[in-house]
Amino acid sequence: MSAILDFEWIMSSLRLALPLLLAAMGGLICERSGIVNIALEGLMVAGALCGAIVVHATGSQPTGLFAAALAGGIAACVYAAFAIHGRAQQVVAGAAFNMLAAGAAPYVTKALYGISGGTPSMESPPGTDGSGEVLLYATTALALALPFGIAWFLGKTRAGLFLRFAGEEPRALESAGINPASVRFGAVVASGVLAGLGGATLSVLLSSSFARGMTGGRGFMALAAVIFAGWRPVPAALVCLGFAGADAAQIRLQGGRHAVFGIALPVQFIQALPYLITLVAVALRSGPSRAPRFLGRES
Amino acid sequence: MKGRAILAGLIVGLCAAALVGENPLHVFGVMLNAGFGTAYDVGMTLVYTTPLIFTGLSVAVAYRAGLFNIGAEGQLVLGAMAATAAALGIGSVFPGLANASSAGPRVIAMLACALAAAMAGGLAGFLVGYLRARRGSHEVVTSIMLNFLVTAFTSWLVLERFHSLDTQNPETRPVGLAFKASSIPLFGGAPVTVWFVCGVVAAVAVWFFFQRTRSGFGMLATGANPVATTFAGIDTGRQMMLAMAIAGALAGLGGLGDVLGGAGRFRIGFSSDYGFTGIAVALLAGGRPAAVVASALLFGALHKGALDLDFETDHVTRDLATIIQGCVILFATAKWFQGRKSS
Repeated sequence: MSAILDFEWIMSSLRLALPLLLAAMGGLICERSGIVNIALEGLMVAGALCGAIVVHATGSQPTGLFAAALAGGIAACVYAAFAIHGRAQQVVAGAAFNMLAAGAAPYVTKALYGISGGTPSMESPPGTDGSGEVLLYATTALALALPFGIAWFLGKTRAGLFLRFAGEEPRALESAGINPASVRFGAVVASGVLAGLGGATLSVLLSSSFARGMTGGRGFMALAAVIFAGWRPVPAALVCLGFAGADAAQIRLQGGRHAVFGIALPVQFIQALPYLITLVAVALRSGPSRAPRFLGRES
Repeated sequence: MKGRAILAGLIVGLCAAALVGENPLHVFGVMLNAGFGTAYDVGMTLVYTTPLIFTGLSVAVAYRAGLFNIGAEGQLVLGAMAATAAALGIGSVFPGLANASSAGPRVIAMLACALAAAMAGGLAGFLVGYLRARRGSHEVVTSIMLNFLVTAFTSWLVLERFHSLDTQNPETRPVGLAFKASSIPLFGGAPVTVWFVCGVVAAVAVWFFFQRTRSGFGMLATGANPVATTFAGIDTGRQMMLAMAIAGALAGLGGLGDVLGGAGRFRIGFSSDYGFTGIAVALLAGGRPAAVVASALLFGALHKGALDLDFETDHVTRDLATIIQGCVILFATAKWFQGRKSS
């Protein structure tokens, strides 16, 4: 194993963790305010697509990331409007939103570039002069600090208290003169900004174009991490790092043939390992995890 | 059915067409023609409708028991693989049966495969229900993980165990002729088979189960008010597990129209999100079995209708169907588009 778990493995784990971490933190804020966020996957698609389009047009990666955050926030407004003001079934609305995003992304690239597979990749990716590396490290540092920031925000600030009350006891918040619907709306938009940014790390920082199916279920994995960690920011981040670490090891393992007790291990089993571990871990967790009391419910 | 949501979804879709510079009426005409233009087109619409009836019923059963079956996709793929494996297995043990042409052995052969599909899907569903009812695991998380696992497991089986020798495509060997349902001749050669009829029969069976049986009533009660149901002496955990097992079995049957019909083999990626579209189908139908058939037909027609957009228009792609589907569900679940009485 020592050949696999080295410095290179740590670096590729961090790269793979980046989109997961950002999306998971978005999902956490949203769910703690009482709104289920299956839509993370679709929000990531919106960010990844918009980021790639803007980088393609301007050649500037920071502008692309900014546009992706904006796009995620705007897309989240749509979801929030339906989930909060439209009183939609949140899981269903989230699944519908993902479907909409999955359909809209190739539709938009076809309209803009004449191809439905993704955005054209840039001839000279902006990262080649070294500035891209700096941006990647800065974003990673931000993503790693974010869970602590959110823990502080939820635990120590007034706004964080309101947000938790919106998820746990919205009527109490209402009697304090604060509208829980507004708090929730803000939380959903914040989750869109973070998920959009997470999606854009895939298309802007870790590659140089948007491709169909690029997010590959990462929104769902992020949500799974949040639920598995019992809706707590720092543990959720650790679960994301765990997923990414397993994924990185899995990619390295694909290189050679591997055997357990003399039986050759097929590549598909290695690929499935992170999911299997999650399933077993979720099953072995005793007792119901403590979800926000009003998660998915109206006040 | 939710007429307003459907209408609003279509309007958004046609606006999207106008936005990229196509005449919306032309786009609508292309879709209508591709969906219902000839007997063959109607047949292909029914081919796409078939898996959607099963996954729609699957999500509907879970939904009425108060659960969300986001795992229908995985259950469908697993069921299809189980049926294929059964067909290939039976074929290699009884080579005579695999090529039988008389009705009796063929019905038995197909029923055996259908049973394998229902059991595989049902087992996957039961696992999710068990983890939810007895371990408190979130069904959305476990279902999503199972979906990933099914994808990995079936692609291993296809590539390493049942791989076709005569093609480079990621697909299994063809099943024996006895296992392949013949096409109903009305549809100009489109592979509409007995599995479509089975879908309609399954809808009737689900209706009967909920309306006329004790067990179905207990399940509805569990969905409506689990606390009251517990006090009435019904084990709600048991109802949840049963509901998820039935839901899984129904979804597991959804792939039969393809593996034991049109394609006659298991192809990796044959399901174009039938499981996820089933969520839309069930929701639009408000969980009612008869309405599930109607809304499956609507989504089947949308899917078939959009296929021609890629070459009949310059700027619009078949993804328009996904956009319209997403919008219809989004609208259907919001209060703004409800009729006078919501279901």
